[in-house]
Amino acid sequence: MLDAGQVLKDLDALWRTTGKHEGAGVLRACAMTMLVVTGEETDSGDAAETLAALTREHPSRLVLLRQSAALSRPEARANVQCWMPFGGRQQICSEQIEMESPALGELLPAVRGVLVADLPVVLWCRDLTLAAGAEMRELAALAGKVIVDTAGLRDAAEAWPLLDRLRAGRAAVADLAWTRITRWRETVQQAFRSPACREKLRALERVELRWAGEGTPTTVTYLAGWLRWLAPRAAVQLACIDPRMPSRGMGRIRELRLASPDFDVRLRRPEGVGVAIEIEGLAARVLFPRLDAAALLREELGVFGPDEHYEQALTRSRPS
Amino acid sequence: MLEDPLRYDAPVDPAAIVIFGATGDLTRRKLLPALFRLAYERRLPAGFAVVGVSRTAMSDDAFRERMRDAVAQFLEDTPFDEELWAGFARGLFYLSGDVQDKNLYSRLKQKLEEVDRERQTAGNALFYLSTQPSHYAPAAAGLGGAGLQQGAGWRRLIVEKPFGHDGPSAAALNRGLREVFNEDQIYRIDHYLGKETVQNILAFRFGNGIFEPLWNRRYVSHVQITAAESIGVEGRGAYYQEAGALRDMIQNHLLQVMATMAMEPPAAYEPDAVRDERAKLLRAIRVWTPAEAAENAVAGQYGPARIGGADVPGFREEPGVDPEAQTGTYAAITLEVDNWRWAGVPFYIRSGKRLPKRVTDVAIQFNRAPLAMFEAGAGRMQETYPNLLVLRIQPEEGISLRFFSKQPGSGMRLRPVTMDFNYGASFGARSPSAYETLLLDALKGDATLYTRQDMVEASWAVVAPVLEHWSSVKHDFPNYAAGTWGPEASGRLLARRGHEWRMP
Repeated sequence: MLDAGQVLKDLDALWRTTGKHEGAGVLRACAMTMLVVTGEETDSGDAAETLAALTREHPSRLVLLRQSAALSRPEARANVQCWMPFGGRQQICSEQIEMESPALGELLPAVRGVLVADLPVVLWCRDLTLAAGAEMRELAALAGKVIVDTAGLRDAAEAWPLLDRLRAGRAAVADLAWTRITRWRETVQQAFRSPACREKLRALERVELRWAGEGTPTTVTYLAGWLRWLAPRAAVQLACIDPRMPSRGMGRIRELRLASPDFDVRLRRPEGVGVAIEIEGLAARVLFPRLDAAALLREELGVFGPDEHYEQALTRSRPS
Repeated sequence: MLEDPLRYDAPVDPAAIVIFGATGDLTRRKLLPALFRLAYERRLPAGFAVVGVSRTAMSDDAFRERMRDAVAQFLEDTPFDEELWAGFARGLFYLSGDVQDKNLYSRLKQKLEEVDRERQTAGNALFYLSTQPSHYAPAAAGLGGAGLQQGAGWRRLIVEKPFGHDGPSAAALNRGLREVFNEDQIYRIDHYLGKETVQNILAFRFGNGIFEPLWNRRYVSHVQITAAESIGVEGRGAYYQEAGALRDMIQNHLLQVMATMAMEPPAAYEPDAVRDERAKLLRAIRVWTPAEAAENAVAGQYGPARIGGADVPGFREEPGVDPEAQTGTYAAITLEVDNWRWAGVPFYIRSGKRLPKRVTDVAIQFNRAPLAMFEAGAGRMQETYPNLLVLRIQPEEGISLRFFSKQPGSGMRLRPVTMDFNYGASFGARSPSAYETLLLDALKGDATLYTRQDMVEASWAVVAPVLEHWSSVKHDFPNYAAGTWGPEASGRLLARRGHEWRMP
């Protein structure tokens, strides 16, 4: 079994060494414990890169948990990540602990020992196959928020059982697939910003959502669910218009049309970062830059407490 | 239900922004880059337009091209996206004319009607006066003459500082503006209030329960507000010669910072509630008699120096500056607030150019512990390093608290240490520029971070006796060397009350 006390001692020694090497000392920043679960199939280098990008905005004690069948016993390593703010004179550092084991369950006692006291705990499960396991329930019980990403699933139907299992726990569950559609929702808000337009939203008769790639992705079902909440009278039509899967980070939604006899809003996103908007004949353009995991997590980590919009969308996004 | 404040901000109304002084530096360096950045962030509505107004004759396309160059050059932290620019530029228009010419405003009215039809701006218009101050009142009168102060949608007016050069001229300017616009249509911009860290003072004070009980005369010894620049007037000599440090920084920015730091808690975070409290604080600042003004303010002017192996001119040698100029490039002033919270607590404010570094902060120095119970010398140490809470506004935004800690080892030897909160470390996200924040607020009709006429008048009343005194004496300038913390007399200003300036 891993000794959490030893891991923390190693970390303490690292802080002392780092502080001595830097003339001005270092500034230790920590706003939460972030547990990150990866499996053998997921690329931990990729995770480290994402977390490094995240640490500036959400400095945290990162605890990277990796299930690795090749190991005969659990292992742990500690290190600190430092960066120099632009124009600053002092390094800002946050800490990272990596733990590996053939079975995630073996890491649980050590994980409990290394959580930062009195700060929120967030669990990001990168590997959806692990998200369904019993160990994950115990890890999730330590966290106030559990983050998964179902956008990679071919069809939303695969996501529902997993989300149900996670939502049975006490932690708030967030899905980065939902985070991916924030910009679509924001743009819809812009289109219906005036009180007169709000009336038109409630009176909408038709919502058309088009996407690329086979299957119906959760991003589409979430957006459809959210629009059903906002425009309960509208008939929602979903259609795949291109069976080819788009390139990574581009998102699968291609077109959203909100229509009634006297009102028509179209948002179209061809391949690229630009989105063409047509509102009652007025054309405009906005950017939806490519989103990476760090950008999605950045947004999600800024959301504390219940997320009513997600709950409402989720309720209306799946077949009853 | 459309709004999801957890994820994105509420949208702003469609609108046209009319910028007077559209070929000027502020438009090029700040306003257009800020607006383009807002477009990049998807914060601007589809129905949005900018109408630039200036004397230079130019077509819409030439204006677009000029603004494209400016945005590409001055946009910070954001890639310049050609596609986005193409869409943004379709909403840029230009009208040439002289703000003194009444005919300009009827043409502007016509232009706005065309723009409204083309860009669906819902009749909303925000007029931005980015011209020289003497044009503010004629521009307002011109807008009123053409009936542009009201229309199908809302109409607002943004005025850049300076709001007059003294109390009477500020009042006269206000009368000129108020003849046309109502007070709730006028947005007086003080970009310091748009800075994230100045807004953070409110969050720090009123979002936490632990600091406010200490925020009064019982625990606070005094407050020091510093705004230092390491550079000189950098080509602004002619303007600066008329203004000086007291007018340029203290009368507006630093008094606003002081008001934010010292005001009473507002009943709600709403524009008038916050501004009422700021105004009350400014009105509570004691207005010195002429004799008191002489004792409580120090003026300084930098002389020539050699910095980094290069000769740098003194203020009087700067281009456009009178070789006998009596303008202060440094000002320090002691203020007292006559209310129950702050009575007897001095507020020391200083601002200057060619000081050792660029820094703006507010330092709240607490009373020392009533008894030095540890080893000999601890009392002296506690006097030298009292508890200090520093709200750092720029360049390294954050908050630090200095307190004593036991030195490791035997005995009870104390050592001052600081506990730091670094804004950049905890929120590495890009902070919006002050102009992004303030423009967006004006489009939303949120005047919380804008100053109001009663605040302007109260600020002028505070500095008026000092200006009057300074204009009546001949200063022995230059009186401080570049790279120092100002004239020696500024040290004596604090020494009279048993205090000394900190080294920020």
